[in-house]
Formats: sequence, structure tokens, C-alpha cells
Amino acid sequence: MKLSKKTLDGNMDTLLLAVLSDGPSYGYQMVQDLNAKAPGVLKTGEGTIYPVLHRLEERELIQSTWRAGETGRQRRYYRITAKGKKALADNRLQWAALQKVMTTVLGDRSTPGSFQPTTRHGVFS
Amino acid sequence: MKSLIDRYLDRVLIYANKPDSEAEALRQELKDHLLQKVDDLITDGVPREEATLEALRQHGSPKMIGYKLRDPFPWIDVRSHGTARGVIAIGPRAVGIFACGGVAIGVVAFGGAAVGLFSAGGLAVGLLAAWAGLGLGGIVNAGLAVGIVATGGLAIGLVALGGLAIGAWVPSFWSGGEVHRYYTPENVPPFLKSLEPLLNGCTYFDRHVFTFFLPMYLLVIFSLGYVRYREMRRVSVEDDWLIDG
Repeated sequence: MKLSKKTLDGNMDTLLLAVLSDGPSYGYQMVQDLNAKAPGVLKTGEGTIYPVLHRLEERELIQSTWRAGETGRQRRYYRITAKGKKALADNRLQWAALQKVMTTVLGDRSTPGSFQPTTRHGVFS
Repeated sequence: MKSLIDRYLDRVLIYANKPDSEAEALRQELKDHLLQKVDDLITDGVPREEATLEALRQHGSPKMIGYKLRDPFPWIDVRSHGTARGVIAIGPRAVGIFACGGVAIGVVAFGGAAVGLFSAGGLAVGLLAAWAGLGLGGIVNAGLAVGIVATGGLAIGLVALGGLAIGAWVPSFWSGGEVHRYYTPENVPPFLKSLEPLLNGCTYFDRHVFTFFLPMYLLVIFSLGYVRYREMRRVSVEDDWLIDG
């Protein structure tokens, strides 16, 4: 199932905070981690994580430092801050609550292939 | 000669429009990403040239990334494409305190279609005031004006004044044009009478439109248009990026 750009845009910061909650990382590595866990999530471009990272840093949810990577090139590493951890925890709770609501309301029909058409009097046959 | 990666990053930075200090750090960060990607693709057996192109393709459109890297609501946002958002916003679509564009939404909005507290344009919706070819709003002066207080060629409003004036109340001092009014001078409610002074502003506007307001409007439109033209020139430098779609 492809996720729409609109759905992803609003949640990319949570995804990146979650990746950084495993430890400090840099842009390219975060892309690799995201692609390993959710292939195709960065379909619009790997570079689109940088605007999100920079905004997270402006909001002090993450911090960055420059240091030499294994290639010898200077590399910008990001790490999550206490404020970021709190934001991530809040987002997790929001997601759990939303998931519960959606599952309750949509039921089994939220799973593709499990939809069973019904009539007012019972299962459609 | 610049490498493909540097040319790509030039494009990103043109759209991002960052100060030099920030731009350099940004370039270094993105370049590290791209070089690492190229290295990994080469390790996977992709020839260097193809690896570079593939890395750039997967990185995304420089225009999209550059615009996303701009500050969310800067003092001035001028764009050649998409929606400009800022205190002063100029673009094909513009949202801001002062917005100018094909479609403009703002406190003060100028444009082909403008929506705002104060708006002017071909089609203008102004909650407080509008000046337009076709205008809707509170106080409206337009070719076709629909509003609480409306003046123009065809004016429709609670209080209306114009070549053809249709209103709950058309002031009794108005003698020009065709008038259709609901109330007569004898039974007009006081609150409608109290709106009459607002018409003075409109008629003042009408009287001075060619001596003052129209030149000022044109000056603003041309100034904003020039700023936009400069931005379009800036982003359309000779090195048109091949995946800039």
C-alpha cells in the first residue's frame, strides 16, 4: 500500500525522531534506516529529510554537531534532545490513540481484501 | 568545470536562498550525502557516471528541496513557482500579510484574484475594502461591486451608488444613473443612513482614482512584478538543471 505524500509530510518529523531515538546519526544513515524499515517511504526524494531535520533543530527537538566521518569528510551528526524525546513520546501516544479509534470505527474493513459487502439484513450473498 | 553534484547543489541553494554562512554548511551536508550514495552505488557495481546520476535522481528535485529549505514564514518570500508565504509574499500564488500574485491571500492582497481584509485586483474579495474589476466585500469600489457599501458601474449592496445602483438604500443625494432602492427617504432605517458617510470615501476614491490611487496601485503592482521578475531571472540562470521538473 502506497502512502500518499500528504500523509507522509505530516509525519516525517515523528519518523525521524524515532530513528534518532536509537542513537545519533547523520542524514544518509537515517535514509538507509528508514528505507530498511519502510521501503519507499522517501519516494519523493532522499533530500527531503533535510528540510525536516533543520526544522526539528530549530524547534530544539534535535541537535547537530559536525565531526569527521569514516570517509574523512566532515559530516553533520544529529541527536535527539530531551525535548525531542518528550515530543516523540507524545506522538507515540497520539498514534496509539488514533490507531485505536480508526480500528474501532473501520474494523476489519481497514485491511485490504477483508472487506465483505453486507446488506441491511446481513452478509451479501 | 563543476561536477554534476556541484551543479545540482547550486540549484538547490538558489532555491533555498540562504545566507552564505548557512548555504555553505548546507552544501557540505548534502554533498556528503550524495558522495556517500555514489560510493555505495559504485560498490554495488554501478559505473561512476550512472551512480552519480542515480544518486541525484534519488535525492529529489532541487527546486522542491530548495523551496522546502526556506524559512517557514520569512519577511520576504519571492518565488517563481508554487506558493510564496511570508510577511511580504510574491509569487504565482501568495499568502502573507502583504500578498501579491496570480492568486493572493493576505491582510493586504493584490492580484488577479485577491482575497484579504483589503484587496485589489481583477477579482477582489475584501472583508473590509475591495477595489477591483469585480469586487465583493465590506466597502467595495469596482466595475461590478457587491458589498455592504458598494459603488461602481454596477453596484449592488445594502447601500449602493453607481451607474446602476441596486440597494436596500441608495442615498437621496445620488442623482446619476439608474436607481433601484427598497427604502424611500421617508422610511429608511437609521442604521442604513449611518452607513452613508462610508460612501464619501468611495466617491472620494472615485474622484481621485486617476490622479492618485491608480498610479499608486500601478506603482505597487509594477514594483512587485519587478521583484518577481528578478527572482525568475535569478533562478533561471543558464545552467538549467536536467531534473528540475
